[in-house]
Amino acid sequence: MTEVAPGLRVSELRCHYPPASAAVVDIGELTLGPGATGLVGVNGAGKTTLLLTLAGARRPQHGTVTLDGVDLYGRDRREIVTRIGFMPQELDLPRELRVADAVSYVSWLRGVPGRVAATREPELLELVGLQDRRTDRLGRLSGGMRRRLVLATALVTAPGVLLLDEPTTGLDPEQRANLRALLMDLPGATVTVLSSHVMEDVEQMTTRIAVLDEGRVLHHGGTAAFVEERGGPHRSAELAFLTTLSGARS
Amino acid sequence: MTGRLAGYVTWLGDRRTVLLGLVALVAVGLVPSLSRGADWLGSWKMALDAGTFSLTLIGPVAAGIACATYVRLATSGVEPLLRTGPRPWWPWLRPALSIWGLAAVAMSAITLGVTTSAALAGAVPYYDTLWVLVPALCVLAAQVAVGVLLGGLGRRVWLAPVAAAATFSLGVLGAIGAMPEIFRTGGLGVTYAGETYDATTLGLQTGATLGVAAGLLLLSNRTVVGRTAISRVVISLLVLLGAVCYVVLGNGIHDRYRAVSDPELVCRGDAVRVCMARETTRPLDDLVERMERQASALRELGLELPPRYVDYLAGSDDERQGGVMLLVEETLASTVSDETAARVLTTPAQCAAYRSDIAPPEASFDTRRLLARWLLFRAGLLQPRVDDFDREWLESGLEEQRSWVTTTYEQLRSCDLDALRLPAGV
Repeated sequence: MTEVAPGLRVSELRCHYPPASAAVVDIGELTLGPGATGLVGVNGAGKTTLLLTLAGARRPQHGTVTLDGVDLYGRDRREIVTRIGFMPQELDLPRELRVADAVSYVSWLRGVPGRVAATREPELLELVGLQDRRTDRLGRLSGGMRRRLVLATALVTAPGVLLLDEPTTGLDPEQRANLRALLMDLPGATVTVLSSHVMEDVEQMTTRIAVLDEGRVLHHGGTAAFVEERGGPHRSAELAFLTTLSGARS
Repeated sequence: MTGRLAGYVTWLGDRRTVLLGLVALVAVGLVPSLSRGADWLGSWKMALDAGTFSLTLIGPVAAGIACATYVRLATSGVEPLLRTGPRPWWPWLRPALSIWGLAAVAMSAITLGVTTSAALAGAVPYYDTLWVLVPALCVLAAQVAVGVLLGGLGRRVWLAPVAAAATFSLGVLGAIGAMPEIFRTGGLGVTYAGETYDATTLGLQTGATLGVAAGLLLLSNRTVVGRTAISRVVISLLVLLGAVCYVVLGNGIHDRYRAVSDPELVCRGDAVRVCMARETTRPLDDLVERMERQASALRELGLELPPRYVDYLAGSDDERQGGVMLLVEETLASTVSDETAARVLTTPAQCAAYRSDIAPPEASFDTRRLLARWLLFRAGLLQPRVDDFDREWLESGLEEQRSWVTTTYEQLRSCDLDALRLPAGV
């Protein structure tokens, strides 16, 4: 019996948005194992589409996505997707909703049993530092608090895999640093995929990096080595990324 | 709030907003229901019809609310999350269900209000016709689905008034005959005395609107709503059913009402026996009283009144009994005029000619009108004016009038309408 490597694995993955036939994601093989992986690319590179597909929210036109060897779009889909937490780039819930209700609502969406959700909600709010804001309406939260709340909603199923789509976008430096610290200290998730434009986040938070361009993976390897080898004398993550991009395009 | 409850109201606003929305829907629904005043007080069936007629505006407004809600939902970023849930179609459709429920409560409240008012005013309730609320609720589902489709696909807030207008237009298109009347609920403006809802027509309407609702909800988010094989099969069957019903409704005549074979009557009066359909007896006592007062003039001449005067219901032509032909507003009011009572007395037989496609002879109208004026004059209820065409004859004395009155009355009793003539000099 073949041993299955833990983590997310995509194989011959192709996604496009009908009626266009050009693939926005076209990946032969990619394994996202234990630890944190940064997913970087320019706008339109296919990061969000790939994350949605990895989250079980968007069935690919071709190929397979497996988590610990189980097909994400197969027969056991219902069970397997609960092991994945997804923090979308935007979650614009009604402003009149209260913080605790937002967590309850997403728990309900994700099929978490009511009793379990009721137990987890205060724990999650404490985890993201919003325990004193339970009854506040969403309209009264700052941008940083809202992102932390979205993070809490991504954790309602106690996932082993956490997919983060641009988690620090729109935050000021202090809020970004706080959220980054929170993400790095999160207990539970063994596989984390972080999609971000902010190379500083990727460099600090991940151990591996995948560079995506026009739906294809240009590079996949250790983050430190990536910066070391391609980041020039100042070891700039941004320069490493741009070097990789221009090298592939030339 | 539990997650389950959150699923219902998250996208509609807080409880206060929901309550205000309900009040607004009721207020809007009262506009068509009260558009003809409160004449439905005289008929419970008509009140029921006026209640369901409220959907004429409640439906479009609910469609607008649904559209705005689904724009919010579709652009919120929630969709990826609900797609990873165990039953993604359920969180997607639940706001629509909430809006439908809210609008249904508004319509039901109005219907309850008007039917209760009618019952308190003396109209006999016909609870066995309450099933007509089912097709009305299906119409409402289709109306809400229009909003869901435009909001879910269009994702622009300005589409909300478009959804409302489009839904209202669908009703108008049905009313003018451009399409089958599948969006119609109530509003015919007749008493339905001796009639009942046609189950076949309303069944077809129910099927058609369910098909429309199912199809539109699927199109609003095909990936989510049509996610499972079961949902695809159910929706396909409903759409197929709807298509068949729509085609059948579009061909041939499909009346929403049919005559009851043996309508129940309520009779009052001894000297003059008058019977009206059980559902519209509001003016009966007053009519009997006024007819009795005027009928003495006929008896003085030795004329025999018919054994009873009976409401002119569909298929009830019987020359052996007098006819009660009232206008809709007369049937629904609590009192009638002396002129109305006189007119009924001049109908001592239910002549087929009165309801034939071919109009009765012109003279029959003139003679009945003169006979009615004579009755009023004899009862002291009419004082002819100087320039009235019949003043001289009315004031000429009973002996002068006896022959014409007697002859005319007997001709009316025997439905010999061609023989009717005005008296000489009139």
